[in-house]
Amino acid sequence: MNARLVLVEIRKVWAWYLAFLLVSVSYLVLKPYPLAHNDIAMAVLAAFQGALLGWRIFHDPAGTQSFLWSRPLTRTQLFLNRWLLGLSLQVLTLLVVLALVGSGARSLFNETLFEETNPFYPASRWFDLAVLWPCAVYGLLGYQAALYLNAFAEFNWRHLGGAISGTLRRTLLSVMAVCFPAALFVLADLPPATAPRWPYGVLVAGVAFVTVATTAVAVHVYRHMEVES
Amino acid sequence: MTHLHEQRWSRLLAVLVAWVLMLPVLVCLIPAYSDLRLDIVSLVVFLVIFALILLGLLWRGRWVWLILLAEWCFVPFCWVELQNFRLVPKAAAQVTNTMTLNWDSDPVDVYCNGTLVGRTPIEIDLDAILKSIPPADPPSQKTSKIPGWECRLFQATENWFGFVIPREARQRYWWSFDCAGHSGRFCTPDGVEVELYRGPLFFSIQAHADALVHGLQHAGYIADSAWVKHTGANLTPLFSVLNDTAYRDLRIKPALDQAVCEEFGIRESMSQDEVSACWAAILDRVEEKRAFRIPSPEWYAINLLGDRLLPFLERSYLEERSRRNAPSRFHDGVRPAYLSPEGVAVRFLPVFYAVGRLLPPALRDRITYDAGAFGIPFEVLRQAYLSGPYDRRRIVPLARHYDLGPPFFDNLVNDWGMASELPLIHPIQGRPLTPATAQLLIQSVPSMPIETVLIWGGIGREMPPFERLRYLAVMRAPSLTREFQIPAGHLAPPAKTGAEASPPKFGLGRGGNVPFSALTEAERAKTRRYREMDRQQVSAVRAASGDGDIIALFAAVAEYPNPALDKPLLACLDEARTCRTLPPETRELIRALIMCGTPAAREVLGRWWNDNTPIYVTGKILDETSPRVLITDAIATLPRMAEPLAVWVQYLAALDDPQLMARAVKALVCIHTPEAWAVLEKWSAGGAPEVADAARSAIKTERTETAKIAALIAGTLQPDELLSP
Repeated sequence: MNARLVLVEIRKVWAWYLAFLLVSVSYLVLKPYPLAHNDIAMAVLAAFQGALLGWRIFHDPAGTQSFLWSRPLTRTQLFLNRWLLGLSLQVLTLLVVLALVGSGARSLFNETLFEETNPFYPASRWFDLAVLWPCAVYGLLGYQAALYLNAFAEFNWRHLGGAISGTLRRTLLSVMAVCFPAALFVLADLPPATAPRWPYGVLVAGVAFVTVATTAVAVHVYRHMEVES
Repeated sequence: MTHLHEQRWSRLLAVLVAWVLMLPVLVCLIPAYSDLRLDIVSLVVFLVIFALILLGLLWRGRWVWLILLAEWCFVPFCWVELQNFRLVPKAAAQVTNTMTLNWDSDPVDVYCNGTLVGRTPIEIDLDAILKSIPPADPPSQKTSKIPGWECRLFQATENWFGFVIPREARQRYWWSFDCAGHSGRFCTPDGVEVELYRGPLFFSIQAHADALVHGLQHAGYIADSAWVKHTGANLTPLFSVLNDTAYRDLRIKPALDQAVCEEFGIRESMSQDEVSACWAAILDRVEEKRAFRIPSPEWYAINLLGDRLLPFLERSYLEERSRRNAPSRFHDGVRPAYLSPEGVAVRFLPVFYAVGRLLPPALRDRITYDAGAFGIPFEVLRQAYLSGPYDRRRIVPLARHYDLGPPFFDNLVNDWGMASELPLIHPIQGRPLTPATAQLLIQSVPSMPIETVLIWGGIGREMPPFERLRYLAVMRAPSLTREFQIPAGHLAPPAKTGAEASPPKFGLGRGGNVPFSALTEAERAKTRRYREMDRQQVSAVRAASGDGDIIALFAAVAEYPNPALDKPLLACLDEARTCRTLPPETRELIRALIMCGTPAAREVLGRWWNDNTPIYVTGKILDETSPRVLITDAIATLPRMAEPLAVWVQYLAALDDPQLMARAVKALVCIHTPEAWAVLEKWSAGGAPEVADAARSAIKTERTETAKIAALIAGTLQPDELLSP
């Protein structure tokens, strides 16, 4: 990875990332119920965080694109640096969650703060790790969706001209943005992990396919898009 | 400027990926918003249409495509509405007039015009039935009469199922019901109004069970292999009656155990594989019956297996907890109806029960977690809450959290049919509580499971009579004071120390009662001790509401005899004897005393038996002017329990007054011991003619009954024939 490029990208994203991480951690610590694999709020938070990361990392403000694209990096390198940075931040989020739950900090917080009313801890301490599942899956989905939509927007904006009007394109993006959280909500309603396996097989296969496909499209767009001069 | 817009394949790829991105929405919306099985053809059709619209939008962006896309996205949300159209296998008939048949006597085979329609619980579509089954004339319009009832076949009335149905359907469709060889009839006291929702009555089930119990008593409560085999084969319809009888007469229990063991293959020593197979068979039976009831043979088998189930419960719990309701499909207008009370799969109910009953330590954390994360195991919590071996620090806040206050107990009693194990005392209404009756209630408090005492306080807390009962309970168990919200004036307010000045924190949601939350360790130990005692002996007092509550209270004590209650009962008798006229509850009081069977009770009653003082009952002097009549009549209405009654055979055998002896024949038949029958044989051989006739008649009836029972067990007599005169 190119350290300078990574630094530039981090400067774009760190404030937003930390703000969202703080929100996620607050939710994680303060929720007085056990966390489950279908924790909707956590899934939405993770998806939004992923989408935010994707958008902040891959969207270039006006005037910066020509500078970046003129650096001695191939377009594939440029893309991979950005993409891996986003994934690393996602993994960092997971590690924070793992540390909070696994170290017993969440259990301790709940036992201390809600001593009278919360009967779930420490019995539920290790079961709480199930929340890593929505955190990882929905975070990745959000990230990849933002990656794809951003690349698609750039692609059309520059080169399709009047084929799709600006209003229509923005509306389309809005629809996608609404549908994706809806999908997350629905996924969160899946039965517990001991249920028949096929929904999880479909989910994992779908997520893997979406990840590969969106990444491939985005790489393609990056390699062929026209850069403003 | 490059011409990337000419690279059509890129746009195609983009469209493809957009479609893939939508895939999770489609795949997951459908199973989540529908309880139907995914039909692959309809799903593919749906996805293809979706893809075409999306393609149109991306290729030729127009508002109309966007609107179409948005509208099409709502299709999965309307899945349930669409289920009757094309997305699931089409029903054989359009379902319009449906009604769920679900009676207490399930499973019942339902026949329409002699054609089997299905087995309850079912949901019947009347229109489809009328189309598929040709009309016919009923075989017989005769009304059969059973004492107190007039019964007949059920015919569709005008407002059957709440729908106005065709005239022809009313006249030429008739319905019959069969519960494992016991035919059901719609009966009313006057034979006029017959309503389907009440369900058919199966008088032959009661007669069948009574005959089997009679046969068992005749054989000295030792069940032979034929009895066990016959009872095991008919366990499903008979179980409820047999279990109720065994609850009152413990000597029947071993035979019932044998029958259940025979039916489920339970033995004294079983390998792990055998227990596993037995457990699987129980779950399969529950699934097949689509219901898990308490009491039921499956429930009984779980209790018989007991701790042997522990190694399998964790796996069963994990397997079953996430199952959804089985999909429903219509078949010729009939489909199975769900019985699950809280939307969980029926197979889960016995698992819930067993987990709640046995409380495997390995599942403790899992249950706590599941309750918080998914809210599933309320039933387990209920059981755990009452049983108490789980850490109360966890269970009580959970119960408080879910507001499992008085409704918690109500549900326990109603949903789980625990009324037989947790008898309730209803208020003594309409008359003041005499000191002796109050003493009886107070005395009965410590002899009951602590749950029962707590339920007294948990139910009807706004009603003044219950306040009295709660007060009584608290009087006996002062440490329970904190459990109940005692109204001002009933008890002196406790002195407020610094620590107690703050309001108590054991309010359970809106209900305000927190059983167990304030129990000390000693009280919990006491609870366990009570539980270890034979609950069927100590959970003794059950009474019905109404004007005769005191009568019902004594009747309950007679029904569930409790030797510990003899002193308050004797106090009640003394109180009654000092009255100018004996109160109407005296006979029930005598029954209760006889069934107590303690030496003190026998002595007092024996003394009274020989007392020649004239007595008056409700102002009317008895012709015989003797308490012997009262006692003899009381014995004649007692359940057949030989032990406490054996001593009375001597008293009855020594009678010399023919009128009284004629009354005593009934009492001796009721006692039903070899000694009693020997006295009857002796009386039939000679003596006063009316006494000899009555004794001979009783002996003849007994022999006929015995022959009938033998034929029933041998299979030459059908249960329905027991009802024929």
